[in-house]
Amino acid sequence: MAENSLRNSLSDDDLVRLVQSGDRRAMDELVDRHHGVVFRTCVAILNDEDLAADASQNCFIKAFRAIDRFRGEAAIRTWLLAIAGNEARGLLRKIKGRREQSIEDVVPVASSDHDPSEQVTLDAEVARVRLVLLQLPRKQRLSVTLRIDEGLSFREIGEIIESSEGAARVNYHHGIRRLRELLES
Amino acid sequence: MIPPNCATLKDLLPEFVRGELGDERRRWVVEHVTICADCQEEVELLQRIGSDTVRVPAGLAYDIKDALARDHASARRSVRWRVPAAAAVALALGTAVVWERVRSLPEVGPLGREPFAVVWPSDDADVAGAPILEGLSDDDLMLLFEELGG
Repeated sequence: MAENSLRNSLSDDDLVRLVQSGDRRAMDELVDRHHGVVFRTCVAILNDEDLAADASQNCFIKAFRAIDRFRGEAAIRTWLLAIAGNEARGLLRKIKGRREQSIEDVVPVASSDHDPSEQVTLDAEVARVRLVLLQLPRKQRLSVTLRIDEGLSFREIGEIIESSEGAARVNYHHGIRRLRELLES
Repeated sequence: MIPPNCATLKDLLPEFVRGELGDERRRWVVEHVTICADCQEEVELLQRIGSDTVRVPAGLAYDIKDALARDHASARRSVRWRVPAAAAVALALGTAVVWERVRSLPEVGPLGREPFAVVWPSDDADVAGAPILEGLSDDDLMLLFEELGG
C-alpha cells in the first residue's frame, strides 16, 4: 500500500528508470497514468473503440519491450503516443486492405458504455459538431481532437500525425476554421 | 508582461477551455475574448467539441496490464528455452571444429611405421654434403678446405 502511494508520487521519468531496472509495478503505474490518452488517440485515428483497445494494448507491449532503448529525450507520454499513432495507423492500413473502405466513410461510433437512452438524449448540437468533425481531412481532424480532447502540445500531435510541430499547428487552425465554415453552412 | 496578439492567443484557447491556464494567461484570454468576437466563437466551438470526449472502457488498464504480464512470462519462457538450445549449438559447433582440426593435422606416423624416417635422413651422403661438393673445382675445394681449418 505504502509502496503504491510512493509510486503514485514519482515522476514519469523516475518510473521509467524503475521499469528499466525491472520493476513491473512501475510499469503498471505508467499504464494507469497514460492508458486513457493512448486509447483516445487510437479512437481518434481508428474511429472504433474495440480496435482502439487492441491498438492501445499493442502500443504498451511494444513500448515496454523497447523500454531499454528509451533515453528520455522526449516525455514518455510523447513516446507512447508516437507508438500508439503508428500502431493505430498500421491497424487502419490492415482494415483498409481487408475492407477496402476508407476511415472517412466510417460513421462515428458511440462509446460502448453509452446505453441507447443516453444516445437519444445526447446533446444534438454536440453530436452535430462531432459528425462535422469527421468531414475534416484526417490530419486536421486528429490535430483538432487531440489538441482539444487531450490537450496535447503541437509537438506531440506532430509526432502522432507524422508531421512537424509547425505543420501540426497549421493543421489545427485550418481544421478549426473549416469546422466553423461547415457548421455555419 | 504584454498580452500576446490574437493569433498567439488562439493557441492558448484549448488550455483555456480545459481550465489549464495559469492566472496571468487566463486573464489575457478572458480580456481578449470580451473584445474579439472571432476568438469568442472559437471558445464556444471548443467547448462543444470538448464536452463529448470518448470514455475509456473501465477494464482497459487491467487488460493492458494482463497482456503485459503474459508477454513478460512468454519472453522469460523463451529465454529459458534459448539458453540450453544455444549451449547445445555451441557444443556441436565446438565438436565439429575440434574434429576438423584433428583431421587436418600432419600424420606423425602410428606405431609400427617409421616415425623418424621423415626427420632423420638415413643417407650418409646427404649428411656429408657430397652432392654439393661434386660441382666444385679444385681451387674452390682448396679454399673451402682452408676455411674449414684444414
